[in-house]
Amino acid sequence: MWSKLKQIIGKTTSDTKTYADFYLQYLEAYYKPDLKKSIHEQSFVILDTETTGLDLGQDNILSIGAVRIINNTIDISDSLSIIVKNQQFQTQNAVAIHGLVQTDIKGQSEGESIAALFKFVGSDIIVGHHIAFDIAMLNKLSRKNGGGDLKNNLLDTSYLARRLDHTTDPDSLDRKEYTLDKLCSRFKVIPKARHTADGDAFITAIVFMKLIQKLYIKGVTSTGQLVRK
Amino acid sequence: MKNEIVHRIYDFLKEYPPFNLLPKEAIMNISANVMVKFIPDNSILFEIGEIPPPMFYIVNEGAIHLHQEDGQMVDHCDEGDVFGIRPLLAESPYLLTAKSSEDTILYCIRTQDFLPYLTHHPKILAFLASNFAVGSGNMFYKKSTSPRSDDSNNSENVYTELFAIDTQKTPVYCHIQHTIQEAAVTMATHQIGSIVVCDQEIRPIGIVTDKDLRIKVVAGDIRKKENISLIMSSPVICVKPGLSISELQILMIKNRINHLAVTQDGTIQSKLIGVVSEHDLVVQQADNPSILIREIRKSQSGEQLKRIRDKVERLIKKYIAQEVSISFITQVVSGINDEIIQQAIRLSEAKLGKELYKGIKYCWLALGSEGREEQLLRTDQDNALIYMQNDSIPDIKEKCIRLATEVTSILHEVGYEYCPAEMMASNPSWCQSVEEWQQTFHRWIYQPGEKEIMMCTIFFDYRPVYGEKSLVTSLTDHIFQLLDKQEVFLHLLAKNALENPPPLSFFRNFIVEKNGEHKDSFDIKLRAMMPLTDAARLLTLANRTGGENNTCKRFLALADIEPQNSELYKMAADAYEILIRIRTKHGFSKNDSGRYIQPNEMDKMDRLLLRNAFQPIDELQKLIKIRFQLGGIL
Repeated sequence: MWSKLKQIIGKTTSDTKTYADFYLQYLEAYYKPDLKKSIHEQSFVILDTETTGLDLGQDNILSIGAVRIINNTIDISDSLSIIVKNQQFQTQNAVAIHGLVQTDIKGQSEGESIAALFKFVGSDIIVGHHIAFDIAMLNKLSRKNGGGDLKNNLLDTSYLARRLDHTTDPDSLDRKEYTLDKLCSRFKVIPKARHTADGDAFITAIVFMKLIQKLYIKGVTSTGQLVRK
Repeated sequence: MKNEIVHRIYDFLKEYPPFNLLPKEAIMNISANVMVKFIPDNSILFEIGEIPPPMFYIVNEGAIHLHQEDGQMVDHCDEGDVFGIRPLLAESPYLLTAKSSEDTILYCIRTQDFLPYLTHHPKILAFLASNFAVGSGNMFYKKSTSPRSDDSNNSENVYTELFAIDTQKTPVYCHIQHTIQEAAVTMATHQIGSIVVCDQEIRPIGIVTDKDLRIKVVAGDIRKKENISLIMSSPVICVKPGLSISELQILMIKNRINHLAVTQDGTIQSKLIGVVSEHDLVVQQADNPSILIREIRKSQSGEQLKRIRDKVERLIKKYIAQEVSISFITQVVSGINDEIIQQAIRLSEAKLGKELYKGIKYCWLALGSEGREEQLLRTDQDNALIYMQNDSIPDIKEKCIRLATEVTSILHEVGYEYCPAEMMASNPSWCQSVEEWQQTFHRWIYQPGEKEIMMCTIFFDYRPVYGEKSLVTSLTDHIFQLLDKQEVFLHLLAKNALENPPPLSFFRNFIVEKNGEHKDSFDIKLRAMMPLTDAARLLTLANRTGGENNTCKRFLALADIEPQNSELYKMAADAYEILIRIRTKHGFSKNDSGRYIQPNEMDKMDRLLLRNAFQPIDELQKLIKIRFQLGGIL
């Protein structure tokens, strides 16, 4: 275990880079999930970010929301809701979607925000709807603040839903049919307080619990089976 | 920082008891610490004997079944239902097993977050206690011993109206310069018995009444051309607007006056805006039971009686809205109903000729719900007549039937429908001499068929309302003697009492039957009230305690006679009161007998109360089954 960890650290520190404390602490505590564990023993972090836009290069994170699921249970007191203080102007587009206006925001600095996120996530498996984009944005913010990339296993609820419908070739299904809104109506989750990061994280979490239950019945009972691509 | 998740939880909790009884901050605090738990279909949440974690549950979506050890389902919880509250009230293992019957999401409330609010909110305690009763059967909804069961600010006597009197009508007044004659003309034009004398700014200076005119002018030596100020009483006692009737009454009594001037600020320094007389107060209080009874005794026709009975309806509505205890309401209303029947009989006797009925000993019996003193809404007439055979008076039976026909027609005018089954004193077979009634009962008790049993269930709740009550006592004694020799009859009555078991619970907009069947309409009379009245009657007859007909009082009397079952009987009495309240409320809201209720017409609290009322019924039926050894017959 320890050697594995050293290996990871060794690899990342090999580019002669000194990381910020939050990232070093994250790396030190990080371990890979036990793939033999039942999915009900595994701890998942369901997260969502709201950004100024969809351009990875130009846009920034406005807010981060996350909840944790262990054994089909979300403890509301153990959830994350961060509004990121952002120096740059946001695009009109994002205002229209999120209704966030810069002057309203009394959030945390970028550094504080990303540190809090890494601390919250720990070694849990990260779940989100179209999670790749959120992770890319978070990694960008992390690097900007002296950190590195998230090492956690990732699960995309959109992919899991397609996998539920088409076991052998999930990618053959149309992604447009698997939006969060569509999954909400399919799993009877009321999409209230959507388009806030924490609200969406919570909704995604409910969808995720219902999804993995359906997959469980189809034989996806261990963490290893769940994270396989 | 605004946390959307907490708000989402809050938005849900605030809709449901007991959380809706809490202030916003409290619900927010609780919401921030909720655990959201997903329970897949057909999974067990907890089992009998398990030590509960320090939390209880509310169903956010889906459904949870609670089962007893024998697999019998005790409750069915859906959206907004709270269950598993044992850890809040007692440190002991679960008595029931909780299992999901759908994919379910629960909000788990930590007891530590909730306990601090318990002590400050007695309503929450009452709610939880009633919830706790499901499946454990040792606690029940609030006892209603005071006339007004709501324990907050209830010092007012319900006989006194609590509502502010309307004094906004334009006041009639005269100026201080006017003559007596001018003032008298104004009073005559407006047909009023008193007039306020004002200055130029319409501030009250004095008051003149009919009495002043009579004594000081007509019978006295003051001439009508003189100034009004010579005969007025001054100063005028003034009040501010918006006082209640009882406050006004007290002021009048204290000052020994019959009129009060209402001014803008309640002093003689401000403008007159109205006058209140003692007569106004009496009119306003017309819904007062004692006044209604006085009016009944003065009534000369069925039409007048009907108007009074309509007022009674308003009175009941007001009582129900103020949560006056049901035992008090039924007592008041059956007292009024009795007065109406008595007046109907007096009017009928007078119409047919009083001398015709001289020497005839008879007694009018109220049967059914009026016999049990439980009638709030006007239902069908159920009545009978018993008379003493007297060979020196010809045609007693015919005379009694004529009288009864007249009485039932007046009652019909009052709004009591004729009984479709003709169970009325105007029917010769319900208008009999003492001997004939004894034979009738002999036949019913010795050759009981289905019809006879039904007759008995109606007739056994007889209560003398008018006439020779001793006739009824002798009939009751006779019936008890018959019962002593014919125990089989009680077994049949017991069998009849078990005919309609209560449903299990409510689920969304359905009634859930014990066999799992769902129905969308609930017959509260057949499925909940009749089983209780039947049980109370049966057990009362079995104990040979006559004289008490009211279902609640019967249960309370039974509780004294059988201390080993007293808890159950008290619960049954409470349950019955709740059923009357719910039925009356629904009857008023739908303007019908209130008998059929759609579950979606009830709020969560009523549903819960109703569901809790099913439980003593269930236990009573078990008790009857064992006591009357009905295992084999059924």
